[in-house]
Amino acid sequence: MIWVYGICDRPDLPLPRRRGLAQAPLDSVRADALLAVISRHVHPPSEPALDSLWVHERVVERLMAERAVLPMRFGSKVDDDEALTAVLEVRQRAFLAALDRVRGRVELGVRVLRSSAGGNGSAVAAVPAVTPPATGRDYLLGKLQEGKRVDKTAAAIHDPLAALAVDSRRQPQRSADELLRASYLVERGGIARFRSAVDRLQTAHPDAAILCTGPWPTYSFVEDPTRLAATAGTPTIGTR
Amino acid sequence: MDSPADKLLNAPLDLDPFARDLRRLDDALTGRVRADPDNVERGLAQLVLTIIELLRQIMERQAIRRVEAGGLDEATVERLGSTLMALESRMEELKQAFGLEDEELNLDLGPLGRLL
Repeated sequence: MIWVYGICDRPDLPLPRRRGLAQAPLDSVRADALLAVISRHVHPPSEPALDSLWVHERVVERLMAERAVLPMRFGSKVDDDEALTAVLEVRQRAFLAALDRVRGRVELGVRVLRSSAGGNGSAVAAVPAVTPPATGRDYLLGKLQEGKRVDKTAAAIHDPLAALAVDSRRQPQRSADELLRASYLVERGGIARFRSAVDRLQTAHPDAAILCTGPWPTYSFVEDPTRLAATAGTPTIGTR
Repeated sequence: MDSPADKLLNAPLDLDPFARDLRRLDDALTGRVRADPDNVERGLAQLVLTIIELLRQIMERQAIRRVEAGGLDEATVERLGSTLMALESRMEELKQAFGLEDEELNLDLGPLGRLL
C-alpha cells in the first residue's frame, strides 16, 4: 500500500531527509515532470491520530519549502506503483496546471465566531439572550434580520480578505454563532499583509472573534483526486 | 513534535469557542460511538432530535424566504411564526433534558459533508 503526501514538480531535487508515517522512509514515484512523494506500508497506518495528521502535514510543508506541491489530503492511498504512475500520466496536464496555480502560494484559514460585545476577545457560545419575540411575526422578522446581519458581517470581513488573495473559498457555516469559515490562497510574500488586514478587521468588529491560521498547504485549492472517481475510467487516488 | 500553536497567525484571547471543533475531530478520527447501556437513551435522543432539528431548520428557512418574498397575509405570517417559535423553544427544552449541545445535533455524512 502506498501513502501519498503530495504531487510535486522538480523531480530532480533530492527528497527531504524526513520520515513519513509510522517512521517509514519517504520514497517517490516519478512520471516525466511530476513526482509523487510517498511512503510504503504493508498495512495502512491504523488508528489515525492527531500525531499522524501532523506527520503528514509536516512532510507536505517540508516539500513546499523547495517546490510547488499539490498536497494530498490525509489518507490518500494507492495500491501500487503502477496505479500511481497511471494517475500521474493520465492527469499530467491537469496536475501541471494545478501546480502553476499554487506555486509560491499558501493557504490561510479564517474562522469568525460571534463574540460577546465589548471587544474583550471572548466569544460566547450562543446568540446573546434577548427578550423572546412577542408575536410569531416578530419571531420570523427577527430571524430574517439576524440572517441579514450575519451575511453583512461575514461579507465585511470576507471581501477585504478575498481582495488580498489570489483566490478564496467560503465553506458553509457549521453553527449558529459561526459567521464565516473560509480559505484564502495567498502569495507566500503576502502573509504579513493579510495578517495586518485581519488585525484591522478584528479591531473594526469587536462583535466578532476572528481566528486566522496557517500557512497551510493549499488543500482547499487543489482539486480533490478522490472526487474524480466519477470520471469514467480515470485512475484515482483514494482516501478510503 | 512540532506544536500546532505555530499555526495561529491571528487569534482572539479566548480560543475555547473555536476548540469545539476539536472534539468533533477527535470523534471523527476514532469513529467512536458511545453505545453503552447508560448512553443508549441519550444516543437515541441525539439521533431523533437531529432529524427533528433538520426538519425544523428547513421549515424555518422556507418560512423566512416566503416572508421575505412577500405575498403572505398577516394571519399566515403570524401562524407560521408562532408555530416555529414554539417548536424552537420545545427543542431547547428537549436539548436541555438530554444534555445535548447544538453541535451534537448533527450527522457526519462522510463525502456529502455534514447534515446541518
